Amino acid sequence: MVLTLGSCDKMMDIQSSTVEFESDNQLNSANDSVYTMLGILKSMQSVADQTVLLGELRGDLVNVNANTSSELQAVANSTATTDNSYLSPKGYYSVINNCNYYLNHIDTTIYKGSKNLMKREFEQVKTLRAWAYLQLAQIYKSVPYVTEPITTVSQLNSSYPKYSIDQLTDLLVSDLTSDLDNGTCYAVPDYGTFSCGTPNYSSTEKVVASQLCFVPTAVLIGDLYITRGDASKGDYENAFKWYLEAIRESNICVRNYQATAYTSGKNTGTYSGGNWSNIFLTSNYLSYDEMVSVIPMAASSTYGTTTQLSNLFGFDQYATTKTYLTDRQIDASGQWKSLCAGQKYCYLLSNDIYGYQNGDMRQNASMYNWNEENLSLVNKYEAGNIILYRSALIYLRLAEAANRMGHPGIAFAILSEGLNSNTLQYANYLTNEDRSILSLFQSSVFTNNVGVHSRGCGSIGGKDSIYVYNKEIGGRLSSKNSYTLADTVDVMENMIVDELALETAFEGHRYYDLVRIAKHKNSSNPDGTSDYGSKWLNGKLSWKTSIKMSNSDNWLFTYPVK
Amino acid sequence: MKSIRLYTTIVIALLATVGSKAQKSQSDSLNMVSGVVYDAATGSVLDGVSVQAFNDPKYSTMTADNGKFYIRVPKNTSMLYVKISGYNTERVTIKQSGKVMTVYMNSDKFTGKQHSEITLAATNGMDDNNGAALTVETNIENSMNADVRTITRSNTPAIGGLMFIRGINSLYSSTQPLVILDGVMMDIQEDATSMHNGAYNNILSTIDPTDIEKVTVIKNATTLYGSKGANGVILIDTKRSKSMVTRIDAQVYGGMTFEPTTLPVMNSSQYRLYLTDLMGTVSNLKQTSFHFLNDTPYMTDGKITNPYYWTYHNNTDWTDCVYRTAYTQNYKINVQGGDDVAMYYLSLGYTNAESTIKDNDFSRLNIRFNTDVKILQNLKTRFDVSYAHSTRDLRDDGVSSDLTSSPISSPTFLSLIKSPFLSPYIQDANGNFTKTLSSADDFFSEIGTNNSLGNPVSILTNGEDNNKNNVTNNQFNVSVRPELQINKNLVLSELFSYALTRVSQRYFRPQTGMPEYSISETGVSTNLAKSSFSKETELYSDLRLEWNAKHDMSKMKVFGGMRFSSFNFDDNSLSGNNTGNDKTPDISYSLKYRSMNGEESPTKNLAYYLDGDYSYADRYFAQAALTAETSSNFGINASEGMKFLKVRWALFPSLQFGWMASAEPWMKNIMAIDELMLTVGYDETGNDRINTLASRAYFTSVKYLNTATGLQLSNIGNDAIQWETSRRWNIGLRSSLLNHRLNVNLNVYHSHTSNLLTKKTLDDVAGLGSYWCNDGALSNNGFEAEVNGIILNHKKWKSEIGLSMGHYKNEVTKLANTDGTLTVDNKQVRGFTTSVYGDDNVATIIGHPVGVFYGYKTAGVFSTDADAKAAGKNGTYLYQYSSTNAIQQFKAGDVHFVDINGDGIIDSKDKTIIGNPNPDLYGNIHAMLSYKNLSMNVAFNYSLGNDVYNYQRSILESGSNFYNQSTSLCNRWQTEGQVTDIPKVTYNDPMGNSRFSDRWIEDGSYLRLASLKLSYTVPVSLEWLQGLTIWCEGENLFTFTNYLGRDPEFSASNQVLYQGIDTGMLQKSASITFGVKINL
Repeated sequence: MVLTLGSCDKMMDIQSSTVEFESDNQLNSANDSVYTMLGILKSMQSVADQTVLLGELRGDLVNVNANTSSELQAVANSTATTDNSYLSPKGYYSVINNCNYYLNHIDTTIYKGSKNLMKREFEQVKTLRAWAYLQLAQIYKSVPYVTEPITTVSQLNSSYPKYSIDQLTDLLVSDLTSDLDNGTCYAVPDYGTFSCGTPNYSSTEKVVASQLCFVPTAVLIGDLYITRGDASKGDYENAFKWYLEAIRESNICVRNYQATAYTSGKNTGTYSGGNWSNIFLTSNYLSYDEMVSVIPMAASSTYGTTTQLSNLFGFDQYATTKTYLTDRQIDASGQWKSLCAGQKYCYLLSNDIYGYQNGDMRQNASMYNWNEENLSLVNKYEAGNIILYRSALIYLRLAEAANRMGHPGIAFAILSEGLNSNTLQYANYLTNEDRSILSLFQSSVFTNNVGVHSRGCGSIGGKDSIYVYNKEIGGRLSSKNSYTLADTVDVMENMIVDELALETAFEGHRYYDLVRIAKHKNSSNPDGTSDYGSKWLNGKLSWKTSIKMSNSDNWLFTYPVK
Repeated sequence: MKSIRLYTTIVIALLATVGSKAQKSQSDSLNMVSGVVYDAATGSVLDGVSVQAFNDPKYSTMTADNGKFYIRVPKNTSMLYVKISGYNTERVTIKQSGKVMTVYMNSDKFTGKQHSEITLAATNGMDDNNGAALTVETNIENSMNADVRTITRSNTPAIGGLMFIRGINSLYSSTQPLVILDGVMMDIQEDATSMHNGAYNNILSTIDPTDIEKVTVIKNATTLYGSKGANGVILIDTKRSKSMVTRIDAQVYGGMTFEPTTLPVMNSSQYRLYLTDLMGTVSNLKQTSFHFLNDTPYMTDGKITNPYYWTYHNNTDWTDCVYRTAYTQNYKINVQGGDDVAMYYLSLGYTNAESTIKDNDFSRLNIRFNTDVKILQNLKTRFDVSYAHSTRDLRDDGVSSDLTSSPISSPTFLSLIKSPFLSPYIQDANGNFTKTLSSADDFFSEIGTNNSLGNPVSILTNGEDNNKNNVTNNQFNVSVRPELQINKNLVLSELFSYALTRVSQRYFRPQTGMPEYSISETGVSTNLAKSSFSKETELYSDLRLEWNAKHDMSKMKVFGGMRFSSFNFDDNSLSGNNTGNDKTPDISYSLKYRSMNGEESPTKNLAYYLDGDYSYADRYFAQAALTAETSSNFGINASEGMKFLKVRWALFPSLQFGWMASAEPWMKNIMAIDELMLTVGYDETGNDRINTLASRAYFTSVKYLNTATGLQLSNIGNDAIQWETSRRWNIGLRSSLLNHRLNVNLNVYHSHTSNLLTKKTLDDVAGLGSYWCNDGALSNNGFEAEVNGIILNHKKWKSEIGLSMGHYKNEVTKLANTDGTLTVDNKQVRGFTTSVYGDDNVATIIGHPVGVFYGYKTAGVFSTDADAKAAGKNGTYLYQYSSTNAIQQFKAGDVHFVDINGDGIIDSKDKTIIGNPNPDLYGNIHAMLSYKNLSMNVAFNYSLGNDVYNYQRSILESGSNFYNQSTSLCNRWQTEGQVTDIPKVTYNDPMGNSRFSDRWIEDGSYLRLASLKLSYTVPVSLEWLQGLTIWCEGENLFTFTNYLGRDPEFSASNQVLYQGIDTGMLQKSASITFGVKINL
C-alpha cells in the first residue's frame, strides 16, 4: 500500500493509442514537424470557404438570390451579427494555435544537418500564421494577438492584446523578416505531391504539388504593407519591394492565358474559348505557372475536407456526372456583368487590321451557360480548389503599389503590355525612373509576360490598340481641365480596381480590395476631402447594402465578444 | 474541506468512544427468553425452528415438538432472529421479559423476508426470480420499479432497460447505476454505440437471470463506492452452493411472443388520393416520367396489358412482411454441492429467442463455475469463472433521427411508409407473384433520386448472414477472493478479478431491392458494410481488513481497505460502400468512401475507504464512512477534494443513523408493531464518468487530403476537471406490522448534484469548439413508498397484495452557459436547447426538470381563410420568415401555431415548454394467490404523468413527402371550411406544419400487466426426483394507456436528453412461456 502511495501520479497515468498527448508531440524530430505542418494545412482547409465568402459576398461582384441562406444574405448585406457562423474567428485561430504550438516547440537544434528544409518549414509556419492574422485583420477592426500556444483552459483567462492591421503589420513583418537568408525569403517546403482523391464524376485523380499549398513569405509581407497602406511609413514602397522580391524569387509571370473570341465567321467577336478558364477548371496543379498558392480541397468527403463553394455557385462537385444546380445561392452581379460588357475586345481581322467588339471575354470564361435552365453559373470552383494567390493577382498588387508610389505608368504597363524587356524599351508612358525600378524585367525570364487586360480583351498591345495610356487616363479625366499626378494615380487605381474585377472576380478578394483601396483613397484625397475613398466605396456598394459605407467605421466587423 | 475535517473528527471520536468502552469489558449477564412459534396460516406449532439472538448467532436454540423454545441471550438483546425452511425469516422483538413470546411464521410464498443484518441505507432486494425474463432488468422492472425506475428499451430480446435510481443525477454524464457483480464493479458500457439504429448492446444480458441469487439496490449511503456511487448501486450476486448435498436443477422452457399490432397506415386507394393531393403542391413538377401516372394512370385501373400494371396495382400490408410471431427456447442445468473442503456451483444455460421482427434473433450460451474452497482452518477462498457468449441478428429498427443522410434501412419503419400499391415480389404478366424481390421503388425519382424507398423484405433476406448484420458478445470473467481470519475479530481479504468483454458488430445494407443513394459531398452508395470490434479489459482489486467487536450493549464493525480498478475500453470500426454485390459483404480496400475510426478510453481508479458501523442494544445504529479516491480522469487542479502525492483525491463522507423504535421498552407493548425503524442519513458521492481525456491537451491524427496524415491539436486540457458531486439526505421508515402481515416502507430524500459535467464553448482564440468542465447543478427530491399486505393466509389459500410507488422532482438549479436565454410563455428564462429528433426541441432550463420538450403550442387547423386572417395581428395572417428571409403566411389548412408573444410572427420566441418526460409516479403492483401447490403471481408496472414526444407519429402524419401516412391523414384539410385537426398536405412542408409542437406530445402514462405467472409444484417424492414444478408465464398481456403510439415504454438512448422520445422501436406484444423445472 505504501508503495502504491509513493507513485500515484505514475500509477494514474494513462496511455492512449488513438491520440497523441502534448507531452508526446515535442517536435524534436523532422517527422513530428512534418505531421504538425500537415495539421496546419488541414486547419487552413477549414477556413478556406469562409475566407472566400467573407471576401467576396460583401463586394460588388456577386449577388444573392431567393435560395441564399439567411446567414449568407446577412454577410452579403454586411448586416451579419456575431451569431452568424461565417463570422466566427475560431477557424483562423485554429491555424494560429497550431502554428504557435509548432513555433514554440520546434527544436532549433535540428536545423543543423538539414538546414534548409527545417528553416523553410519554420518560416512557412510563421507565414501561415501571418496569413491567418491578415485575414482576421481584414474581417475585424481589431483582433486578439496570441503568439503562445494555448493548451490548457486556464490560459484562456489571460487577456490578449487586440490589434488592428495598423499594429499587426509591424509585428508580423518583423517576425517574418527576423530570420531571413541574406535578406531573401526561404523557398516554401516541398513534400512532393498530394492526392486529393478522384472526383465522382471523373476517372482522373486530382493532384496538387505540395509547394502550391504554401504562401510565399514575400507575397504576404507585400500584402501586409499594402493592406495597411500608410504612405508616411513607406508602405507602398515596401509593398512594391516585396511583391517584386516574390516575383524574382519564383520567376512569377503573367503568361498568355487568354479568353478569346472568334476572329472570323459569323460569330466573330463572341467568346470562343482559349486557355484562361483552364486556370480554374484544371484539377491538377502540379507545376502550373499561374498558380502561386492554393488551398486544395478533397474531391469528396471520403478524401478529406471538401468545399461548399462549388455548390453555392451552382455546380454539384460530388455527383457522379457533372451536374449543375438551379438552387445555387450566389450569382454574378449585374455590376460585374456590365463592367465586363463595357470592355472592348480587340482582335486581328487580317494583316494589321483590327476589329473591336464590346465585352471582356473573361466574363464568358468565368461562367457556365446552362441553356436548358437559361442560367449562367460561375464556374470558377468546379475544380474545388481555393486559389489564394496567382500570378495575375500578384502583378495587379504590384501595379497597385507602384501606382500609389507615384508610378502610374508601371501600373499601366502591367495592365496593358506586360512587364517585359520589350515594354521597357518601347512603352512611351514609362519614365526613366520607372524603367530603372523595373530593371528586373529586362531578364529573358519575363519575355512572355503579357498585360493582364489582354487576357480578356485580346490584342490590346497591338499597334492599333485602343487601350492606350493617354486615352484611358485622359478619357477618365476628361471632365477636368488639367490634372495632377494625384488625379492620374486615382484613375489608374480605378482601372486596377476594374481589372481586379475582370481578372479575379469570385476568388474571394473583392471586398478586401475595395476596402483597402478606399482606405488608400481616403489618405490621398484628390478632391480635397478626407472621406473621398469612403464615398467612393459607398458608391460601389450602395446598391446592395443599407449599411452606409461612407462611414469607414462600418467597413469592418467588430470582433465578436463572447 | 471544512465539512470534511469536521466529519473526520466525528468519525475518530466515535471510534474512540467505542474503543474505550471495549476496555472496561464485563462478562455478559444473560436473560432467559421463552416463546412458542406458530404457523400463521394454520395456527399449529412449528418444531425445529432456529431461534437465535439477533446480535449474536452464538446464542441459539431450536423449538421443540410443541413449538416452544427457551433461549438465554445477552441482556442487551432486543430481538431474536427466527428461521425455518419454507417460511420467511423474521426478526422478532423480545417483548416484556418473563412473558412467553408468541411468534407467527409466514410462508415463504409471501414477500417480506427479513435479514439478519440491519442496513441503514435505503435498500431493497429481490431474490432469484425464475421466469421467462432473458435479462435481469426485466425482473428489476417487475419487482422494484419504484426503487429503480426501469424502462425497457424495446421488445428486442434481451435488449434490457434503462435504469434510474432517484431521479436524474447528471446532464451529460452517465445516469446509470453502478452494477456490482459478485463484489466486482462492472462497466456496463452504457455509452458505447451500436451500429444498428434502435439497437443497444446490453452487457447485462451476458448474465443469465437463472444464475442470480439476489439483486440488491442501494439508493443512498453509497459513499463506499466513491466516485461511482452517485447514481445508486445495484448489487448482483450469483448463486453459490449452500449445502454439501449434491443437487441438480434442470429447466426447460419455451414460448411464443405474438406478432405485434402496428400503427394503422393508409391502404392503396387512400394512399393514391394522398399522392394526388401532395403532387399538386410540388413546384415545377415534370410529370413525364412517372410510370404510375403515364403508363398506367393510377387514378383509373388502366389496361392490364400495360407492363407496369401489376407493379402499381397491389394493396400490400408491408408490416406482414416484417413482423411475425416469435418463438423462444431455453435450456438450463446446474449442479451444486461439495464437501467440507470445497463447494461448487456449476451452471450451463442456452437460450434462443426470436424477435417479433423477422431475422432478428438472440442466442446466448453461458457457463458459470463458482467455488468456495477452504484451504486452511483460517484461510478460505472464493474462486469463480464465468463465460458467456451471445449473438444476435439485427437490422435497423425504428425511425432514425436523420432521414436524409442515408437511405432508410429500417425494415420496421419501411413497412409503415412504403407505398401500399407496390409489392415485395415481382409479378409475372398474369399477375402471379414470382420469387424475385422487387427493386427499390422509383415512381417519384423525378423529384429526387434520394426519395426512393427500398424493399424491406430485401433488407431482411439479403442482409441475413453471420458476416452481415450480426452482433457477438463474449464475456469472460475470473475472480478470486482469499480471506484470512487473523483472529476472532480480524479478517483480511482480497478480491481480485479480471474481466474481458469483447463485442464485434457487423452491419450490412444490401443493394438488392435498395435504392442507390447519393451521400452529401461524397458520392453514390449502392450498399454499405460496417464492422466494429471493441474490447474492454478490467482489472479489479479490493484489499480489505475487517474488524468486528462486541461488548456489552455495543456491537461494532470497522472495515477499511484499498480498491484499485483499471478499465481499458477500445473500439475500432471500419466502413465502406459499394461492395459490388450482396454476396461479399466484407470490407476491403476496394470499397468506396471508406472510413476508419479508433477510440481508446483507459481509466484507472484508486480508492482508500474506511467504514465504521456501530450499534447499541439493537436500538441505536450509526454508520460512518469515508472514501478517498483518485482517478486518471481527475484534473490535478480540481476545486474540490485535495491534492496529495501529485494527484487529486476526491473525499466522500457519509453518516447514517438508525433508531429501532420498536425495540424501545416503551414500545414493546404495542402488539401491532413487530418492527418500526427510523433512519436518517447524509452522504456524498461522485460520478466519475468524465471523458477520459478531458484533462489533457492532445493531438489527433487527421487525414490531410487523400493520403497525407497530419497532427492537429484537437483538445485543450482542463486540468480542473473533476467528478460530479452528489449530496443526499435520506429519511427512512421501515415497519412490519400485525405479526408481519403488513409491511410499510417509506423513504424521503433530497439530493443535490453540483459540478455537473458539461461542455462549454471555448474562447475563439483557442481555435477549438468546446471543452469539458464542471458547472451547473440540479436537485432531485422525492420518495419511495412500499406497502405489502397478506390478504389471505390459510392452509390452502394464500394471497398477498403489494403496491410500490416512486416519485421524484428533478430541477435544474444552475447552468454552465448562463448567458443563453430562452422564452417560456413569453418570459425570458436562462437555459439552452438541444436538437434531439428535431430542431432545438429539448430544453434545459433553470427551475425546470432536465430535458423538457420545448416547442410550439397549437390551436388546431385554420378551417377558413377568415379564421386564418383573424389569427394574426391587425387582421392579417400569422406569418414566418423562411430560411431565405421570405415572408410566409399561415392560411386556411395550416396549423394555427399560438403566437404567444402576440407580435404576429411565429418564430422561436413563441416556443415554450410543452411537455416533461419525467413521470409523477411509477412503481409496481403485485399480487399473489396460491391454492395448495398452485400459485399465481401477478406483476403490474406503471408510470403516470410522463409526456412522450411521438417522433414516429410526427413522421407518419407530416403530410410532407411520399411516405405512406397514418390513416388519420385521410382526414386532412382539403377544402375551405373543413374542420379538422390535420393540416393540409404540402410537399416539403414549407410552413412547418409538422414542426416540433404539442401535436406530437402525448401523455405516456400507462399501467401494464407485465407478468402473470402460474406455477404448480407437482407433489413428488421419488429417490431420483426431488421436485417438479411446471409453470406458465404470460408477459405484457395488456396495457392501459391513452398513448396513440403502439407502446408508451421505450428508450431511444441512454442519454438524459433523449428521454421520452418514441422513435418507433419494436413495441411490446404479449408473450406466453411454458416451463418445467426439475430438481434431481
